[in-house]
Amino acid sequence: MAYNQLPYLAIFLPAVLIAYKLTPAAYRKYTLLASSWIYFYLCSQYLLLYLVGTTVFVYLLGLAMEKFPLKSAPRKALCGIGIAGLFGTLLYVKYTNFFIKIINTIGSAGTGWHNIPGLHILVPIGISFYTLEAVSYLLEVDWGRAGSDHDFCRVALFLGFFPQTMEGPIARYQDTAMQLTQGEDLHLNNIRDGAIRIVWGLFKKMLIADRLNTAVGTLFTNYTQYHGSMIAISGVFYALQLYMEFSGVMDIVIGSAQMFGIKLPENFRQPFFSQTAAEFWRRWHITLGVWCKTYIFYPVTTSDAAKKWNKFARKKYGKYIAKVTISAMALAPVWMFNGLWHGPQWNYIFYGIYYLVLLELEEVLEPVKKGFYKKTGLSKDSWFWHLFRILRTWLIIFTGEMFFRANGLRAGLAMFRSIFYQFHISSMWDGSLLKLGLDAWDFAVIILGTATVFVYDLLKEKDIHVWELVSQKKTPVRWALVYCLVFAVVIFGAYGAGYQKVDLIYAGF
Amino acid sequence: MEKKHRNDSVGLRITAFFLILVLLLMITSQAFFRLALYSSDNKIMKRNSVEMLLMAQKKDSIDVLVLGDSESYTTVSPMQLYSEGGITSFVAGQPGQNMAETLHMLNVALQTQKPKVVLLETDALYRDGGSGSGFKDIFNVRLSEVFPVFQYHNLWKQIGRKNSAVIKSWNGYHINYNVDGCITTKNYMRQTDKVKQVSWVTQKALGEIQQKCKDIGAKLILYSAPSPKNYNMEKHNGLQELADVKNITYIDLNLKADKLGIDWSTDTRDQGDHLNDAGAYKTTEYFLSVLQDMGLTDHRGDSAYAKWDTRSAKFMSIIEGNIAQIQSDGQGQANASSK
Repeated sequence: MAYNQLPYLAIFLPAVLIAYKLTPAAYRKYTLLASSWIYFYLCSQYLLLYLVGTTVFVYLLGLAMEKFPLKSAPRKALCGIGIAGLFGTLLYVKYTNFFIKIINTIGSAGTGWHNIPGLHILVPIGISFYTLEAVSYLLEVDWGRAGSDHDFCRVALFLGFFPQTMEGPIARYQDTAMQLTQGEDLHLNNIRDGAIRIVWGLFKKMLIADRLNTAVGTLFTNYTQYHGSMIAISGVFYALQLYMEFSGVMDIVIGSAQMFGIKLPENFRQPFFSQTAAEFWRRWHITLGVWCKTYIFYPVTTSDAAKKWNKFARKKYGKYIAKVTISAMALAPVWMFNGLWHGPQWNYIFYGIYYLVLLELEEVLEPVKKGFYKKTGLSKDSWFWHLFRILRTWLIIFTGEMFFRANGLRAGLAMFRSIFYQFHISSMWDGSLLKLGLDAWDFAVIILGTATVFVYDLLKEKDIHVWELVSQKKTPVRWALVYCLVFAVVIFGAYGAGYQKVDLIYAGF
Repeated sequence: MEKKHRNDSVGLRITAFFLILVLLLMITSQAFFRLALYSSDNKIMKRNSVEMLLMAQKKDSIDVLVLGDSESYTTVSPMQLYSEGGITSFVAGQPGQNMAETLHMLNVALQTQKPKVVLLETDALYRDGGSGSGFKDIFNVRLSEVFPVFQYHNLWKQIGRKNSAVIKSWNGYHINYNVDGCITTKNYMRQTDKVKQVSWVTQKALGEIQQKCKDIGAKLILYSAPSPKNYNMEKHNGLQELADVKNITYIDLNLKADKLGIDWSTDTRDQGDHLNDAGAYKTTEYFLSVLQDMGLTDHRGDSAYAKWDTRSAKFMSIIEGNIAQIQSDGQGQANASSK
């Protein structure tokens, strides 16, 4: 029961809202928890035990940690046991077969271990997301930034709140936990705004992401049959599809929570207006970026080893080398983790390394960049450079997403190589695009839909919030706009006969 | 008092908003449904086209209705049934048709037809991925029944379209003379006591279909198309058990494949997933004998069915050519593999 499907939108969500409304305020958290676990059960059946087990484990560890003073060895040890247990489980369910495959590959090269059979392990939905939230809770308690929670229901809701189950956002304990158990009454404004956000999410997903699915599938599956320009287009299409899909689902998720008066953290902030790769990652899948920054980057940069190295390097090699090396020390685990977190595939690991290299290059080339602006007298704030930097970032994004979506690293590398030969720009108008399972009308919907989202994002970038403006209009105008949005989805959405809609992409990670 | 007044006003506004929404959905549904009735563009209608063809059939002209997924329209050929036995039939099968859609298709048929026999191909009974998926299918079908715009929304693409791909179907049967034989049938229908159960949501849908057939006096027959890719003894056992419990006739053509003369090297178009014209000819011959035994009327020569005479003659000449082609392709492949 994915968030974009009618059983969720027309039955499950309204039913939970009604049950929530009918429950006395003090018991509403139990209604939310029961609904969340029912939702999880409907998606993953008995694998719900993983979530419940994680919740009990983390809850008890939190209580045990409380008994020891901050920074004490037992407290740290308990936190360490917790993190090892959580990541151990994640590694077991998601990565066992990946490691077996590696061992077998190495084995076939001479060690004789090449016959270890793969295991049939069922992966519970959202384990990558709730595991990070559970680790976040333990670390926050360990560091004393959050107290151990005595309310089991709150911990359970923090890890399993149903709109977040499949794709996050990955909240920090302080972001959402208290809101989840407040039992806030339902307010018409929240329900209205949440519903509009849900329809907006459906617009992005069903008009653009789902419609692009046939073309993306065709290009990535049969990449050997296409020349360079079409391969380049595959990267553009997938980046567009992923943005519309993931941000669209996030709109549905955040809109669903908003109906209950719960504010979840945003996961996107107009990422295609980024001027650098680093900025892109501050705007794209924000909550994963924040998690990595908070629980990997900062602990590494503030560790004793890093401090010692910094002191030594500054003295011996100067400030620049110290800065660059410390950055490399912290970025390497962040990006290795980011790549691996997406799943046990070499192209995801490559994707992490790709951004590690790019971000490190940004650090290394900083003095060159400053020198360039100084010598030429150009202002980096001029519209030309602004646009140039945005387009350059697009190239980085499209290339990265091509590797990310490719059917394996080998396919990704082959696709990348093919961009540099047989590049025929004429593919854009010679009819090649119409052989990807999409007709001219499909492209018209994709272009108009993307233009609508672009204008919306552009206004948001300029701090103009469309729905706030709409809410100030008179009722007939407001309703007419909402009806237009609903009917755009109903009529122009890519669903039903002849369409293969894309499954929730991030739910697979 | 003021609060109550405000609450009333909010309630009224919500009701008004949804009433208008429902009204707009009804209006657009009517518009799209009418468009669908006149649409013959297969590229847009896709799997919905069979429903429109079914609705376009002359009232009370169909004696045998065939339901199911792609296995249905690759096993029963209505024109052959007519040509050789004068039996009028229609295959209301769709690619990937699930049981909720099968039930819907029966409802559509019953609006204009009173079939005497309903043949239900059983692959649809295993289509849902569990009860949850079955519920989702039912919900989607019900929604499309209330608001057909959800089913025919894609017809906006017809605007300004000149070169439409006209639906080519012989009362639901799709001609196909490709040959791609089975690589192996070693484990096909190997004996086992295992039973593959049909989900209770699907059983419920089957129960409804059975009841509807009973209400109009039609005989419901379950049948499994010969298909090494889709069938095994586990499924056969599950279906036989279900048929016994529900007291429905069940014919498993997988157990009769040899008797029917199915040659898995030539009679399948996709390595044992579906039959081609040669395979379908043989299964249709079998159904002809079953249906004739049930005493269905032979309409040949009846002036009211003159069109059937002309169409079936045309169809048979095409099919005979296709079968000859398949046999020569099969012979060619056999020669090539023996070299």
